[in-house]
Amino acid sequence: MSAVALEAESLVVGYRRRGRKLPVLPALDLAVRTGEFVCLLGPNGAGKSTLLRTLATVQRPLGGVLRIGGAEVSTLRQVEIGRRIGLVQTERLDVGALTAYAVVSLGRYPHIGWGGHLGPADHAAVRRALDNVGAAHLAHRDIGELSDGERQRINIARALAQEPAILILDEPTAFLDIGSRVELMGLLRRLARESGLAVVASTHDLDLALRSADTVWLMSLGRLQAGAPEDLVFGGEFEAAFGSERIAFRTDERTFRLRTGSGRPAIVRGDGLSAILAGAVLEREGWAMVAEPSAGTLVVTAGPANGEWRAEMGGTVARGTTYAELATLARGLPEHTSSTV
Amino acid sequence: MARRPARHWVVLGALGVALVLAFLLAIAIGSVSIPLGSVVSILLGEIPERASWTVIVNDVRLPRAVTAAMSGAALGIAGLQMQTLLRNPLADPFALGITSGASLGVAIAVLGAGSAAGALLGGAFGLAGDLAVAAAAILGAFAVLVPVLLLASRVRNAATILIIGLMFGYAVQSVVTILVVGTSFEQLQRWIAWGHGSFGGVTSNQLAIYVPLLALGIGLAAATTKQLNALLLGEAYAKSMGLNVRAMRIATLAGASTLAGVVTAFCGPIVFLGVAIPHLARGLVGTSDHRMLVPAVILLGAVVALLAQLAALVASGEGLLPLNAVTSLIGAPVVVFVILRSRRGAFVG
Repeated sequence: MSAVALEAESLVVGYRRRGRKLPVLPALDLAVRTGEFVCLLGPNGAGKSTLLRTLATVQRPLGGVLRIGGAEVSTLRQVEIGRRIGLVQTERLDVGALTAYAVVSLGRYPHIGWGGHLGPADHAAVRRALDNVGAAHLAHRDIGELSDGERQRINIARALAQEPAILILDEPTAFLDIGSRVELMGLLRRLARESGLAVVASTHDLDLALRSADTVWLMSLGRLQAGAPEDLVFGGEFEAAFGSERIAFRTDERTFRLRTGSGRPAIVRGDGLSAILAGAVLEREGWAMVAEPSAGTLVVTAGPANGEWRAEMGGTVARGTTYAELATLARGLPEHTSSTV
Repeated sequence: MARRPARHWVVLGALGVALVLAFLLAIAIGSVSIPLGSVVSILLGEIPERASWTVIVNDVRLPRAVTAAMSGAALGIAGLQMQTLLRNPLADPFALGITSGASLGVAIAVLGAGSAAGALLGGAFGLAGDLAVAAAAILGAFAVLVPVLLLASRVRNAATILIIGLMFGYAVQSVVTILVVGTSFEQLQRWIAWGHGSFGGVTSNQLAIYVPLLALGIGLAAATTKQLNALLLGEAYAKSMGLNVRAMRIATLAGASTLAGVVTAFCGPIVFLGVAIPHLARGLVGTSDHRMLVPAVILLGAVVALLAQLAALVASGEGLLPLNAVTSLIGAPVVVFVILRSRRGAFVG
């Protein structure tokens, strides 16, 4: 097994108010290995940012020990920590009149001398970081002109320019469109695998996290559970953490669904995408999928052409050529009746 | 910060030339007209047609020009440090209450009715009186600075420091107002004159204190451009990249306070240069990189202060037009421009 890059022992994270300690979680024992991609999940207010800020040593722990590469953080100077941990925070980089290259160069801070002069090795590291996030073409653009996604990649490149062993990111996908989110999670995974970084990222993109992460830290109900995503799914941890009266966690799809309608029985027949989409329509309209038909079951046969469907309920038959029509029908069907379609 | 486009060097070069010209103008122009050739020969140590010219150039214009240049650079640097540290485009030495503190010191010294200090201040430009006022201003500046610094070392958020500084400033200003009410006309006049600001009150002897103190403060900023750059991203990022934020914050606040306190002590509360110069410099060099910005602010601050001093002198003939009227005329439009321009923090230090 690879080496432990970041290790927390009985770590207590939280705040100090007027001399009193206010922990947000019980003492934690955590370890992140070189090449491991950890996703931190949890509802708002669970203390994700507090934990990440503490792991990044920006915030002091209330107790316990934090080790980076085996060295206790309290024995390291700030600049030595800067060479080991890179941090990317939620808030967008708010800085004007600097090129992307200049922003990434700031990441060389812990490696360069007092005068701030960048040597050839420093420039090489900056270019490498830009290449790593696929942002070499942005180098000479002003940071203020960049889109949120581009700016986020530049910020990650800046952290990479520190040449850290550990990368800590607080909701790096927060302001990104869906395409950029997928890309970013892929990038983080690749950085862990190919560059041997230990990566810890918090996110609300449960679906993406479960597909990308090696390990999930799930924070909720005042505790943190760590494990492979699938192990946590199997243990019902997600339903317990995020589920509610209105939201259900679908373990097979590893995603959340709104609990809508009364859940009357329906069956979808047919193959491929047509059947899946017809099922999605019915589910949205509050029908529950069942295996065997009984009295009052809505039976929808999808196809043969895209969008075509045939619905049957209590002997009455309806047909349509778009899913909008199917939705209208599913919405309009009165309960406790078997005659009108 | 990799390949610096030639623009930065062109701007710095142009500012250097502008400074030399502004400095020569400031020495050449005054209420007594002296031919330019004579001015140059006096500067070179030769004896001109009239002996009084030597006195005017060496004892009045040269100290005044040096004072203006140093003050402009100092106020610009103090403003730049505050803007970067507090990440607020409108931060300047006033924001820390430093200027108000210095005012308080001067108010106590000048207005202290019937006291020994008042007697000492009898001579309008007596050296002892000036030094007393200066010392009082510095003491006042530090009397406000110390509690602000103490709080700053305990407060996490830089914006909170700005608010604390402002509140201290308001409180101190009201104390000053109370002191001003009911003083004698003569004292009030002196107080108002100080409040107008002037680069003309610093003598050659005082420059021996003035210049090294300001050079020290400016030198601190010049030596910490790397740290200031890291702070551009905010204190959390600066810390995560390896900066000892607390030490840097205290050093920077102390440096900026010294610069602003010393200038206020000797020249009065010069308004607007602190907030306006960094924005002008940023616009000229087109980058927030302090390695370019610090020299640009020093040069531009000196140039603008010299020109403002000249404008005040020329417009009024006898230097009666208050310096602050001129700096405000320059500063106010700049501040308005910055507010209008600063969406998305385009000008945030």
